[in-house]
Amino acid sequence: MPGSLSISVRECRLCGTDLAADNQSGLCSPCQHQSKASAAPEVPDDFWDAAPLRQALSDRHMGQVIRAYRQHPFHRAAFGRRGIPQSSVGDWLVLTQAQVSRMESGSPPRNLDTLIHIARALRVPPGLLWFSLPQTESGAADRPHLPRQDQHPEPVVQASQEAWRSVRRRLNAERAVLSEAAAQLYDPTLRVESSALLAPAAWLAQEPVPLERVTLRWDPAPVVPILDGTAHESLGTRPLRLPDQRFDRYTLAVRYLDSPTLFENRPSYRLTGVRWGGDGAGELRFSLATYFDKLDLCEAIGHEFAAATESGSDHPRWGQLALRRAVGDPFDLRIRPMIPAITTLLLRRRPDGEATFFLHWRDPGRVATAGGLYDAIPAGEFQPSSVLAPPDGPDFDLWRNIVRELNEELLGAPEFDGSAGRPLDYERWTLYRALQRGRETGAVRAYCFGVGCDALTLAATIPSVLVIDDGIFDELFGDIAPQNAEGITVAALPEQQPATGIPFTEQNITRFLRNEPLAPPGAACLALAWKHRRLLLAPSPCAP
Amino acid sequence: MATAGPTRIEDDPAASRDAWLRTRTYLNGHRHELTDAALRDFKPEDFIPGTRLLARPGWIPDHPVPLEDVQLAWADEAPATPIDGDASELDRIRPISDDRTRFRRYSDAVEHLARPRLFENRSCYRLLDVDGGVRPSLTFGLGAYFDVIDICEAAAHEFTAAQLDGQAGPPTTPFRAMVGDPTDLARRPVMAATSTMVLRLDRATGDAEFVLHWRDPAKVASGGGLYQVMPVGMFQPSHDAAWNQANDFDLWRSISRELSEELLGSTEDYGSGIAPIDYDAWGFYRSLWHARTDGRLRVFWLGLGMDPLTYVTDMLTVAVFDADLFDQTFQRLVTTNDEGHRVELEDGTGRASGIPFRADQIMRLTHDEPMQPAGAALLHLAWKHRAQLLS
Repeated sequence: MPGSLSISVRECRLCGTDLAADNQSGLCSPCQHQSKASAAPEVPDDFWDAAPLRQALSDRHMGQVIRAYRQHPFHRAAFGRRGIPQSSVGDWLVLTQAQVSRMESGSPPRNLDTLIHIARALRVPPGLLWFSLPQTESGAADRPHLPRQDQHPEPVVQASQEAWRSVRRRLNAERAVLSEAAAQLYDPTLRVESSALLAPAAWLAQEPVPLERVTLRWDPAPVVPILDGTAHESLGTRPLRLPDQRFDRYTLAVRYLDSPTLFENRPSYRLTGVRWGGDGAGELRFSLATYFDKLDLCEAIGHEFAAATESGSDHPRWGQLALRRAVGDPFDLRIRPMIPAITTLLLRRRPDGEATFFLHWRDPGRVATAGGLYDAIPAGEFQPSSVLAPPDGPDFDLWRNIVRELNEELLGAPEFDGSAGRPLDYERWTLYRALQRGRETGAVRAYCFGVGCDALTLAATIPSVLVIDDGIFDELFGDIAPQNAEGITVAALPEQQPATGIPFTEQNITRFLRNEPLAPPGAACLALAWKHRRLLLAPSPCAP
Repeated sequence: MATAGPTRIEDDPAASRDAWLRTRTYLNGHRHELTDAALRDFKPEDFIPGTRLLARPGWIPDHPVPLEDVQLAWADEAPATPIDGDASELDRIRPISDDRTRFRRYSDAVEHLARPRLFENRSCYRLLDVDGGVRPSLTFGLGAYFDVIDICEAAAHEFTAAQLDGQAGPPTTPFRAMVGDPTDLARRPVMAATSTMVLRLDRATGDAEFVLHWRDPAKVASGGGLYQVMPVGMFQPSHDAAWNQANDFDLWRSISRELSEELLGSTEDYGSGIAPIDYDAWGFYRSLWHARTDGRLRVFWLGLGMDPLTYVTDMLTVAVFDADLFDQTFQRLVTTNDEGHRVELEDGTGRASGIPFRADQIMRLTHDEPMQPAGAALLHLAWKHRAQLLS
């Protein structure tokens, strides 16, 4: 029904240029070009009356809403007969073309965050949705009501955003150097094995603790944090979004000005207690928060540090670091939501007791954090596998989280990342069962070293190590994916296959610790694993 | 009445006084733990979120209110209340004097058995009504300080005695049961203290620190053994002479006197037994007044709340001094005073005047240290609103 559309806008909505009489898009060609690349265009009200859209909305299937939206006759003028390509919609939604395709043809996405994100990105009128959009104070900032632009028309906004991008680029490009400089702000005894991962003595176990001896406890009533990403001390790390208003949170600035490929908020576990006993066992307590609770504060703390070093000094003083100062004690789990990642060094143990290890390279353009660095693999946030799963249910387990990351990062398999509609059934999952059997025979062993914070961002990590005997390794990980969706490449020596790993020798360890950009959690894992190598590589008790 | 058997403790004056003193000593030494136990008698929604202080909806403003926007109203007739310190429900905690009569009021027992250095019944402003909102309004009439001892300390004593007997709940604390909702201003005479958090703000660095006090149980009648903000004082006329009643009926005047007395150790005798205080002629008051008008000193109202153990009422205010003004005003900042000593954090520079206004200190004092619930609530709220307070 293209004939029924009536467009009254006669000036380009973005730059105000007069439009040609036959221009029905509401945008002049340059702006149209830009908006095609970055955000959904404005559509007339009766756009949403189209039958396929109504059907998809009444079926509550956001994937089919995307398809009906793309193929709407309105878009033919700007995008051609076949409507908007999946890849363009993917750009607006910060998803890959493949993810858009799966969403359109698969079962309806159920993660509320995902639904809200899509509804906002496509500007679906709230009245047509089967869920409500959050009406928060930050609602206005959260909604991409203007197409994202490289250049905001207001010079003051433009300058602020450009300066922010420049610091952000520097933060991403120089994380290793900046972490080392930030570590010098703290008591040197806090450094874990001379790395830029910091931990008080009470946070580290005396010896690696077998994962089965780490008890996880659910904290039903954690102390409410008194510092979060909206803190006024973080204002300096947030660019202007309008001449008189800054972005409300750091993640909003990232989303609109520097969005990596994967940038989605998900439920994540919040650490509320750490206790290591003298008996070689330990206990970690957790409640629930979100991934962005972590990034809002930690990335802003890192940004503040990067900005302070830009002014020439390599070693900023506390005076320039208002947000870091406000945190005070980085190890008080109550002050701010402490949302740890789990970083695991993978060791492949040969029958002769020698071993190889694995590192990956993180592409700064595709990952939100720790880009431009080597890090241990697998590494990932500690998160429930599905929003529908009870947070204190089967997913509330360090080992299962590590296996999910192994699956994703080494095998390139889809991530069980909290966006799935169904809770994961571990016992029916072949890889999990195989590794579980390996743990029972001792051919697979997992240990936890404790908890630490990256000096640059104060983001928490649980460093751990996973030792897998050669035979079972080959069987399970013979086909290591050289690269996965997160922009991660498994590092290999020039003449070797990725699956072989890097020889676990003093020379190689020293090389990575001293000469390569290695993320502090990975550096701590590597150094701790080397320190405890006898225990870790001891012959497995049940090995033939 | 002659008794044949052994004397029961409650009939034995010496034994009853020993028991009372034991309870009183325990109360003064364990206020923080007892408060933890008292929390259980209330619902989570009775508290100011994130604190251990009781408040009614509307008592805590959404944002700090400049003190000049808080209205005070006066009521000539302060209505009688169903609860007072004479209640027979308190009999079981009243010790027996040598003439075999019970001490009539809790203040009588304190005066004779555990008299602190400062113990004087004086007239106080009695809180009658609170109207919250953007411009809060408070109505007061006249009351007496010993109502605080007779009701609040007695209620805490009753609670303590029940705890020591290994009992808890309304049947073992009949007086507390009769008081019912402690935030009901019509059920008992409620006196209010002003608790002021003094912040020294260094505008050059953005850093702030605050003044903290340790209340010595040997020196004060209530709230001993706990950290508290400084200054704190009952909202009351400077002297019982009638001409002071209207002249001193002003929150800022009251806070100014407390600042002078507690932070500088100045006298509490303003000569107001002879004539009302001429505030404008008082140099300290005048210089602070100038600082308020030109913005170097900003004072905010954060609301009011009640202690769940003692039912004592605190009005929560914050005074933000620019660093220069603070240093000039409090050159001779006291280290000890009649009620305890000021707490300094040794930071190696030798010039610390207070506690850094930082998340870790706030968390430590509000969660790990024995701090009076009102002071802890004030710290929590001040931290929450720090963007506005420090702007």
